[in-house]
Amino acid sequence: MAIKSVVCCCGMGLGTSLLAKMNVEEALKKIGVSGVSVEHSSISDAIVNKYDLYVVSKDLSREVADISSKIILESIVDKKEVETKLRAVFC
Amino acid sequence: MLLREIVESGRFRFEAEAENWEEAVRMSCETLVKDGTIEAAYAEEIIAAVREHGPYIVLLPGLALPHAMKNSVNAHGTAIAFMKLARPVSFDPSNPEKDASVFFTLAAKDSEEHLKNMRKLWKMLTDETLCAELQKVSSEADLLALDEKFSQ
Repeated sequence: MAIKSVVCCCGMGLGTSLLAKMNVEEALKKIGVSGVSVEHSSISDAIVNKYDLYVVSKDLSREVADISSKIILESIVDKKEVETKLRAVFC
Repeated sequence: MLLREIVESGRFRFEAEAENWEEAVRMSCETLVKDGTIEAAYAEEIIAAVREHGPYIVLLPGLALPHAMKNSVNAHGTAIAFMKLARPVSFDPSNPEKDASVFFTLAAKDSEEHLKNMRKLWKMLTDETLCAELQKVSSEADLLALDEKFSQ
């Protein structure tokens, strides 16, 4: 299934998820993926709204245990890690 | 850059230590409470969220981003405040990576302005050297010097 929507989530949808979104957008551009929407949200909203791919920091991995299409990040501000993990999904 | 803006806004403080992480969160909110950006209850929202989701606001070892929900009724303005503790406080006794001494406390009323703030913050936090230097600041002058160094 082609991934068309990515959501970066954190507990409150205000801080870390927004930083993760900036990182994901930059990484997608770098690896040449376009036509994918990247949003940020609280986990509870993200789960209700359904996205093709979920990006969360490892602290919150428990809360997305039921979701199969996801990327768990050790550090959401690590540009290399985000790029490597997105590459594995998209390329 | 962001650090200079924080200094100019007066939303910064340097303290020796905090009794525990809850107290550190409250302390990190104080400059924002004082200028009316947030209500004191905002800190309690952050504390409740950390209790629910775990200490994920400690984004990098040594660095925390305390913030509450989007649309919090206790936020009246949009700002970032800075606090530095000389002695780090533990958010998770079983994980030293969740100790924090640098705090960037976020309040977001206006999403456009918040986005601008976060872009500046993101630039800083994706710079490992800058993050390492942040652990060493102990005065207003240090913040300005760091700002200067990384604006070049």
